[in-house]
Amino acid sequence: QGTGISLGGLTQDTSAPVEVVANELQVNQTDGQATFIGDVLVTQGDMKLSADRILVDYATGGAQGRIEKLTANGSVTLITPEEAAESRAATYVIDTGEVVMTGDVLLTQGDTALAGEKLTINLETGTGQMSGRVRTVFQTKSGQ
Amino acid sequence: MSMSQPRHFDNRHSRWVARLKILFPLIAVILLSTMFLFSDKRDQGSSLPFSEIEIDRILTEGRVAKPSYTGVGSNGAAINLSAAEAWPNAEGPYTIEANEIAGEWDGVSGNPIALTAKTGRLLERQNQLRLTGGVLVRDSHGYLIEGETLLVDLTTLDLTSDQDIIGFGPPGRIDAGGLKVTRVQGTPLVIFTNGVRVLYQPATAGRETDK
Repeated sequence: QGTGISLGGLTQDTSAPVEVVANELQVNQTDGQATFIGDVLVTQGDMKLSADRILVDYATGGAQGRIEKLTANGSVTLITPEEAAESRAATYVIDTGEVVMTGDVLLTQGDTALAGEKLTINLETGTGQMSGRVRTVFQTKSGQ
Repeated sequence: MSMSQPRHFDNRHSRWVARLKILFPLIAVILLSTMFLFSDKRDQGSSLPFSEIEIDRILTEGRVAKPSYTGVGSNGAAINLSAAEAWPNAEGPYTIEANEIAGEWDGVSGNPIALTAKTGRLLERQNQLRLTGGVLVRDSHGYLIEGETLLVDLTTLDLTSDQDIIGFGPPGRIDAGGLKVTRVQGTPLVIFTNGVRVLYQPATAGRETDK
């Protein structure tokens, strides 16, 4: 059960360069965990993902230096050319182009907005699915 | 005016004066002695920079080959550095110059971080060691950081650079406005500070990069 959504003609090239900007990058010397902290903004092609903190998980075993997943926490927003989505947390698997947003998710497309608990988006195919108490929220003219 | 001091005074004022004449000097002596107790801050925390003998050798012989410096920081980190040569700086007795610095910063948990720099200036007064010239910081997680200066706080043994640095690591190239190597609640951290930008190239990531 979930509401399928299509993202306005978005076809993201998941091999496009990814730029990450933040206040700080902390590398834990005990386990090598890298964490971007403070106004973190990830940009890849037409997609922008921002959050308070983003953890970087590298592909294990595989060639060192391959990022497998980004885990974002704290006022997460995902901006694509025609959509904006907010949530408390999100994960982004770069190779597959899959973004999963969880926790008070609100997806805004033009005038309509969809709220739910979990939003899964595939940036490559431009398709997605909202699940968990999905409800449509009509933006009143005064709301942005 | 009789020279010998009469023992008993008929008024309160003179009696008080006599007492204070004893009391005030006593207080002065006490104050003076305690002052010496607190005045020497230098050898709290880390061990003396350059061991006692090395300093004497540097100051007497002027130049010392292969000096080494070891220290333990107040937050638990340890450092050991060696140099090709060290000599007293003409300006001040408390400044020692050295060249070809190499060594390690050890955060205790996790592997040590390798440090190299062309020159070092030990400012004992500010309890600081300033590494300059082609500074390289390499950790055991594949991060290599290049900068112009790196300050070693000889009390906490935190390493900081507040100048732009370039890093190469698993996520790709890292540009930052500064660097800090420290221990927070027992965990050693390398922190790129003052604004960070990383460019990750998924297409080429994972292939053997030249760095």
